[in-house]
Amino acid sequence: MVERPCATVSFADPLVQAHLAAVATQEQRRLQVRAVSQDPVLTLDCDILVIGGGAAGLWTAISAARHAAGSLRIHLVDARMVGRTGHTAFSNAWTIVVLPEDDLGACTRDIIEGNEWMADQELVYAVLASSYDRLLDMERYGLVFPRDASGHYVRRPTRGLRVNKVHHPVGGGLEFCWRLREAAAALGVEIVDRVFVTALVPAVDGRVAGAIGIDARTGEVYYLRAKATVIATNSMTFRSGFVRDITGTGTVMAYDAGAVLSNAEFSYLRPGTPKFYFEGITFAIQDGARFINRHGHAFMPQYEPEWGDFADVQRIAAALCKEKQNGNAPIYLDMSLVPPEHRDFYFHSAVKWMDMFLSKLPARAKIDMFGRTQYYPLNQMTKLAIHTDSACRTGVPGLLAAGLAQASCATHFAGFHIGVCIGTGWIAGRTAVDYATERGHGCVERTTLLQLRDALHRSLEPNAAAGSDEILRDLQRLMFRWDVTVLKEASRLQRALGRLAELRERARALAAPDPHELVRLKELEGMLAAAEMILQASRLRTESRLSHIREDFPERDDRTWIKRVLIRKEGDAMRLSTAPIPTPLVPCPVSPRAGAPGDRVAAEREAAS
Amino acid sequence: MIRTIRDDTCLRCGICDAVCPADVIHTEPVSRRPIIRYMEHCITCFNCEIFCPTRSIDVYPIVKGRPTPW
Repeated sequence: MVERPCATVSFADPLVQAHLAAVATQEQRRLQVRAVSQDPVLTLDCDILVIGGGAAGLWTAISAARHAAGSLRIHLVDARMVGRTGHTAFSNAWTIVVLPEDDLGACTRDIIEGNEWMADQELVYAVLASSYDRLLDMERYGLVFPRDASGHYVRRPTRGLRVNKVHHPVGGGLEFCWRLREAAAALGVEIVDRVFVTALVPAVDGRVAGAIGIDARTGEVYYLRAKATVIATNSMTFRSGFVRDITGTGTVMAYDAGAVLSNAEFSYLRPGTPKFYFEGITFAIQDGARFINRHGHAFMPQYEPEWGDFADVQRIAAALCKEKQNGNAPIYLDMSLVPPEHRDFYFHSAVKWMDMFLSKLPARAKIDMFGRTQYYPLNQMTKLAIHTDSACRTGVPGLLAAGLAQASCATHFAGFHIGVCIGTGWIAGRTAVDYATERGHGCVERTTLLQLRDALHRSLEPNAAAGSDEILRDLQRLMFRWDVTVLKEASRLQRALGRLAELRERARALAAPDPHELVRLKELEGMLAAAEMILQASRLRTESRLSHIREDFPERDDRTWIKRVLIRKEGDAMRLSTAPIPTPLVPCPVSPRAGAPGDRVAAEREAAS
Repeated sequence: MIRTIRDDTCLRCGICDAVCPADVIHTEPVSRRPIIRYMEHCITCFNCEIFCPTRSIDVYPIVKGRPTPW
């Protein structure tokens, strides 16, 4: 019998009542739209559309509402319930904040150096510079960031960074997101739950004029009409992160609309075990735990002489691969050195859902946690995201990006994921207001909407068999192989592209019997497109850097590769190119070399779509 | 993965359906009874159990189908 933890709410709880009111409001709005709409598809009209209901989307909407001061109509849409889905809701909501007494320049340098110069320096600076103001905003919205007896914020160091510290709100991500949802609603943001956006809508002049989406439950098609549209749908994942509702399909939608993507060759790698969720690796290592191989040898110091087991998670993941390659797997996290009196700590979490998970684990699994559970390098999410300027504008008029859907960094550490969501959300909201204030709605041809609607309807066939799960499993097997997307090599990447083409062919034959499967099918299509971008970009970057580890190019090459790999759509073809990364704040110590091999590689290559 | 919803204690409030980020729980239109429609797509996030006001839902802490790199 599994022990049942205490329930956390009662029916009389205002939180429960707030949820019920939110559901009722949504249903009422749907009824109103159905009653009055004269358009070929049901239309929800606004000035600024924000897609994605996690930290970045919420902060974009809040920023837009505050900058517009009531002059613009703002919609925040999510495939599920805003504030109850997304990575932030299920995280501990750690966020890096630079306090007034901190050295902003040193904190900026810390992030840029930690990214090995694969960062938008001006954006990183702007995010950090505004982080204290946003912290004060969040306290006004009811979030509590703990302070010690002398009134100073309680802060923690974070893996891989030397200077920056993280703040952690009471209640973790669920509290964080719900408070922001309430703040957005209080500012007049209209929240649209349960509409899954499938495509951006082009106006006749080429700008983006909103999006088209499907009610994830009823299958009704909606046109979300807007002057400015912000993608805030997180990074791409293959449903393998610790929260598997994230697929980040907004990134591929932006690509289809003409936006340029970047950072496809990087990912968030971490050591983990598929048997249970365990987010306490950092604390365990501080308590004495060490990664060991099948011979019982603690191997991290030989790969990371400076940091050892305290290295950033992606470096540990890389070391795990090399141990596997050397025949030293399986790998374990030896927690026998954790003092017995500390062990109970690891069966609790400040994150509510994880605390329930740990408290309900069977005794056998709890013993395994301190025994011999195998660890692997897990690819938690890709860093494929939308390239923008430092105001979060894509090159497509009317289209912006924020949060992890925006390619500010190639790695975010623990704490800068949400830091970036908050900071770029603020910037994107402000830019969207400027754009929407100066312009009217784009003209969209009726036939364009009908074509988008019909394309969705064609994918729905009541008698079809749901087949996306099987292809997804095969895609996961392909994209998470340690010797394909973790430890990379040209011929293996090429073979993976061939296998991927087979999967895409199988997916083309699929239809969906209901809206639930249709959403999953559309997500799968996005993941398949992203997989090709990842493999192609990984071939192009002929060096090793951060999570991009090339066995055939093992060295970091600053002379030629302080560059982004850019991906754009031209016709039906996927085109890759490279562009230098500006370093206005923290120059890279090694100067780029003209005429180096990387510059020849930089010549644009066309990959078969 | 979600295991059970106790029918005798469920209030038919619909919160489990609303907060599910994976569209696993559906509320029947007339009876307002929640049903586990797509159990295989449960992501073990515990939202339904956390927000159920009558402790009627049981999620089992098992993670299935996660890919391993070797």
